Amino acid sequence: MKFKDTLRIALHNLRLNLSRSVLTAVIVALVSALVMSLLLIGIAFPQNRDEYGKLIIRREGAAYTLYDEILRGHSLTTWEPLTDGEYDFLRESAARHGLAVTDGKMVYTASGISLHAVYGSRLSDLPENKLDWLPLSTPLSRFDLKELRYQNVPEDFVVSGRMWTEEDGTEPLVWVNRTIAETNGIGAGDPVVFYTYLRGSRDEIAPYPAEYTVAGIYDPSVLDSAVRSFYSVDFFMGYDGFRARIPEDAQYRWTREVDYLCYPPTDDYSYGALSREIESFLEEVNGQLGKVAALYNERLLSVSRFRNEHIDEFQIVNQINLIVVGISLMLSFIVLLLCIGSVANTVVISVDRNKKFLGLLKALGLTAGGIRRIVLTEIFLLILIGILPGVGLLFAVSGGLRAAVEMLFSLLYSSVAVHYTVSLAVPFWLPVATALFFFLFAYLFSRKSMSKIVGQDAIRTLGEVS
Amino acid sequence: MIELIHVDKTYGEGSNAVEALKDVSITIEDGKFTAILGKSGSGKSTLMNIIGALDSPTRGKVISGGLDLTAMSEKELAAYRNRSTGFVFQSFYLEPAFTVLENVAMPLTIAGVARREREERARKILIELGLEDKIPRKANELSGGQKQRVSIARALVHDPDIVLADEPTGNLDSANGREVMKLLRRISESGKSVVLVTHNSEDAKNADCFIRLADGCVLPDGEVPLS
Repeated sequence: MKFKDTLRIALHNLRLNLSRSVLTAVIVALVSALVMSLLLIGIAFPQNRDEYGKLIIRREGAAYTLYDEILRGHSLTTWEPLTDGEYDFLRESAARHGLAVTDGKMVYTASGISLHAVYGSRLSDLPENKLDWLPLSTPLSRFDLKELRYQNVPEDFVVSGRMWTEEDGTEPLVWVNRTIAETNGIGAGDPVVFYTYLRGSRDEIAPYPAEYTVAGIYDPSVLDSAVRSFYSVDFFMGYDGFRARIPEDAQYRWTREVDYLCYPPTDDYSYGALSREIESFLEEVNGQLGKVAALYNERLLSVSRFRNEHIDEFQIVNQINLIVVGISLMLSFIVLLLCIGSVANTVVISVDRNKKFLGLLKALGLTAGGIRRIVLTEIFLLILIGILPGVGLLFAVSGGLRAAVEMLFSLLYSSVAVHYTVSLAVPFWLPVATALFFFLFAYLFSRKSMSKIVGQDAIRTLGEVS
Repeated sequence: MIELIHVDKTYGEGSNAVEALKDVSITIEDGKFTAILGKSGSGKSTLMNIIGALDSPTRGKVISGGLDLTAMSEKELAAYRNRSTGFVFQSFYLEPAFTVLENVAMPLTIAGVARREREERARKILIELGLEDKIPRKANELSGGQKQRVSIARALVHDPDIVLADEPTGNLDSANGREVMKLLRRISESGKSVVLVTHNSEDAKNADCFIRLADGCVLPDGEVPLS
């Protein structure tokens, strides 16, 4: 039998049970819209998480931190420096994970200088009280000029003097925040002396003065809020230049740190692949370095030494993503199963009502396969007639769905001041996949009834209804 | 020619087994009008179903035009029914929501014949049977006699080798019954094999050959089954 005739007969069979068929189509429309809405949230969440993650990485990079200290008691830091072997391993591992590492370099710090502000260091004591007290804030631990070039700092960031370059090397140069410069009357080209206090022994702190030149004055207010805080520190200087000013005989201990960054080149990359690569890199390095004990809430916990800030920040998002996707899939499945009962029931009733006709078709030479095709076409038509308005409904409520996802995102990222517009597009395959699932489950649910009529010989079918 | 060789048909199993046909060996000659006679429950409908490949024997062989129907697959049997047999049922089995033309064209629809061709052939046979004015009507708008004539048209539309009629006058008044029998006789005279299952001796008078059944067995010529 030709497909057109199969379709005609299936339509005829459904028309015989019109009210039931219409009711089932309405149920399919409502339920398919609900299922597609739930799935759309499940799809939109990870998609938007990925896009948001890309945005954050583009703006701030994915920075790695190596935890090198063990905290014991109050304000007491014991450094656990990297060994040469560990450092070599880190470099090799970074080379293997090219996707996860854009830039990496070893950074020296000195425990006595307290660059990490463990002691709230008094770093400078300038002549003529131009800069009286410089609190060394956390961002200053990023004494890395290379890092700055990835931040897309606009040209008008430096308002006088010049921008830093890689060629500055060990030159004694410093860039000063405009507010500090104005308050203290500093201009580009002025000499500035920094006094670095180094711990000589437990009770003695020795000052080491060094003269720098103000290479430029910068204005963080030209930057947008997302990166402004990073550039709002009081000054920047090249680390190599800073280190070159520290006397070799000073009483401090150098510690090696590794400062890796990841800046994927464009948007055209897989966020998931990048995250996996970063995690793989972390796992590999931490497997080699081992864990350290850290004091959290007066308890010593074993923690990994090498961490990635972006992965840490997104951990909760990923967990929520799993929950959202899991719940949307589970609810979709449950709702779909509840609805399928109705579709299957309609088909079973249709088959029963049309038993005589189907028996006649068999007597006239229609094969079992032909009967099966008619019943399957009935299921297909019921679902198709229901899915089409279901897709319309989905589009009608998509604005509300977008608002829901947006609300969820604004709650999750309330601490990150980056504007992001949630996108929620209905993929072409969603209605197709939903229809296929409806069809598959309706077929499975009505298979028994279908097999009965298909397997029964024509004369018995006709005899049952005579 | 259709030949049944030592055909048994048993329904059910064990103590519930019912022997509908016992060692039936008969021959249906081409172009003849054969009547299968017997009282209710004698196995005549079972015999007709086996001849028409609607049912298969428990034992024995059915040979039609040199083909062994008992060796055919379900699919081959369906194709055989669609190609070589035409059925006329007591209850007509017309689809009420379809037009007369659509009902008559049904065997051709199943065979996958193009719409225009099958409608032409159905229209031709309906005109031949004097049902031209009923062509656009729905089947449920017809009288009993008209329905049976439409069902005969359906049995003929695909030009089968044999037409099998199971109590075709059972639901008709005597006038319509006579018309239907005349029609079947005309079909037989046109060269087609017609097998009529009936318990009505008046209807059977139209036949050329007779097969008498009692309790699933074929009675010798001359013996008349109990009515």
